[in-house]
Amino acid sequence: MAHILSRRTVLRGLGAAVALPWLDAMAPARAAAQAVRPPVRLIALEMVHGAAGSTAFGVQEHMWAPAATGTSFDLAPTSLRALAPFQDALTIVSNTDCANAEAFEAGEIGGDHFRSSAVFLTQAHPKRTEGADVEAGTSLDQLYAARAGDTPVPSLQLCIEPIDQAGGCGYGYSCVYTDSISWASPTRPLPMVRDPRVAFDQLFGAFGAGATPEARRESRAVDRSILDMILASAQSLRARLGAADRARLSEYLDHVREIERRLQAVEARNLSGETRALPAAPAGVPDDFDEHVRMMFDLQRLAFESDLTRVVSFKLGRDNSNRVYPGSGCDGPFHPVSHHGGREEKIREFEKINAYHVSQVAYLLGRLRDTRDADGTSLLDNSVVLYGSAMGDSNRHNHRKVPFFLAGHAGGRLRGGTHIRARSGTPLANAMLGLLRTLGLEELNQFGDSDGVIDLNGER
Amino acid sequence: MSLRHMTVAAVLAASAVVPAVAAAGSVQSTIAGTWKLSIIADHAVPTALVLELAGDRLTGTLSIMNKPVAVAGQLTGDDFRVDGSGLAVSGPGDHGNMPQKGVNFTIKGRYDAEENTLAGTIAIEGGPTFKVEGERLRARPTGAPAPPAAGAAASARVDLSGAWTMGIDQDGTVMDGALTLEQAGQTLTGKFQNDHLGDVVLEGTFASSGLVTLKGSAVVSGTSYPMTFTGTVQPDGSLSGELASVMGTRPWTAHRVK
Repeated sequence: MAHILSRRTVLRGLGAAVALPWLDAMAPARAAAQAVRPPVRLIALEMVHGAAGSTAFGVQEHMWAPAATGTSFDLAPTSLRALAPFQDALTIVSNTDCANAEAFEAGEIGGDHFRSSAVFLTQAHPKRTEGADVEAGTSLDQLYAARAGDTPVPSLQLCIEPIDQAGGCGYGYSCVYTDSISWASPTRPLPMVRDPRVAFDQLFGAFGAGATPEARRESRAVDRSILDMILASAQSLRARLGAADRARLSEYLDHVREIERRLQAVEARNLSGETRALPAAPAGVPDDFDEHVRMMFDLQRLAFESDLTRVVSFKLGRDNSNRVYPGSGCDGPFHPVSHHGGREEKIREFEKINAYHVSQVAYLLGRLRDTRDADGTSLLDNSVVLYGSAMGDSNRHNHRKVPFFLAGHAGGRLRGGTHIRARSGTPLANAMLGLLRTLGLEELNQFGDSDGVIDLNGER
Repeated sequence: MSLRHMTVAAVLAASAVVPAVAAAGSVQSTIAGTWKLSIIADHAVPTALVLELAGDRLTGTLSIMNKPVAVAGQLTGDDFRVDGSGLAVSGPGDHGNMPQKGVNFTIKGRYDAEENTLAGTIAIEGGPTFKVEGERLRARPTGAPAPPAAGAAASARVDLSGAWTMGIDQDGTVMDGALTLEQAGQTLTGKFQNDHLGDVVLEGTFASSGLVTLKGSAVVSGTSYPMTFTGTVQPDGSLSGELASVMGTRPWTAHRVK
């Protein structure tokens, strides 16, 4: 008789707990497997400080929004060109504004850097304060997290740049507004995790209830693996699985081990005494942007595969960052390049950075597409990846024609392969409200400053 | 030279210099107000220009990084000019020859009433002249609430109409009942039904802040007991709050009937 595994089965040992990917043993009858409807996962990515395609010249050159709307659009001239292999999974919504990121009072003018990130997923206008009385709105990811079902980690908040600044960051705004894009309530911003080691331990490490100091030490030893700690449990489970499940389990554990090895290599390198590009960063943080982002993406993929969480927010930058992205083909630092003075040759330089950032998403989409979900479809079929910024033209600090796209099919609820150009002045919140309804929050009739809802399956 | 790395080290808000400009031409009163004035250098620098107009005379402030400097000047037809003193800027690198203490400056240009924009230049004494572009401060968007109330999912407004199961906590035991609500705008009407309290007709509001208020009276053995429910919408769509009655304050929750 087939042994039926619970979806919440974990491999345990020495205080460590590793969740499992979907296995046929969790629904042994073929009919039951076919009836399984995987949950819809959400990843919300903020790439800060607008895009070259939001400038007048960028619009004219189709640097962000493709020239054509509907299903026949060409990504080649756009910053989204690296996503061409995933064009049928894209829903591009262009020509929308984030009015709530604008200044409404004289004292707020100039504070765009310190306001925008808090607006992105809340579409609310943050209260200008440097104290603890911060207020914005409940963010889109958290609204969905409350509906996405119970998982060991209700939602995961990640970031790339430093987020540990205290007090005010500028123009009377608390640094919290710059540091976090996820708000559990209008007054409760959630901390973002920058260190992949912390995220790994949160998901797979020996840091849960019952973990011993020995287990923690062992899990972090450079020459040891979390898998060593659950070896007996894994062997016991293997003996009860069919061939296909055994292969799937091995592949999954290989992926866990592979990312753990990368993490250990980064830590060893950063603790070696060699000069670091990011000397103040924790040992688990790779100095290289690609390596850092991809490690975080791989953790997200594993977290979805094992159903540890269904909701991730990921802040990829910081407005005032002077980071250089060698892989972009632009050798200037981010913030100065973003202030291109409206000059065409400089806008083109900024566009290279925008395209480079989007190219990182192609890596994520590829990983999601290549990962099988419970019903035999892919994680990309059952996910939505949201990408954008509350800033438009970074040079002017305006919030018009903001960059935004979605990728994935949301369990069949998003057809994808479409470019929707909104009428001028349309709030981005209308697209976000459309997404929230797509994700099952049908009763919502307003989000932020929405004055309508965009049908994300329209414009075909 | 550029303003790319410009920082305002200090602003000495000294008295404004009022230029001798001949008064002439028509006066556009609508130039008064708050403008987001961008100084177009390598790095566009956003500033706040607040203007008041009396006759053809302009007074106000120019603020960079919230440090205001007084300005004064004149509107002549659609052309404006204001002068100020005390703007002190300093910066590294290519700002080496930027004045390091309070400087005089002049902003002049044209007010476009139709486009509601300003365009012109700012000339810094002993320094460069930059283009400036102004747009009037945007009004808070329709439907965008003021910074929302604590605990409310106020940026995501919902329609509360429908059937709910309500539970009122009475020192550890929960008194269940059926709650039905109808929402029209911010007005709520409905009924709470319970074996002990009978039918309690409710009226109330769902404020833009996210606060739900429902009032009614339970009639038990001929005596009327007023009840006031206050609460908020939770991220999972449920309601929770407090009931105030002669029995004191009790927590309550309500979940939609599926």
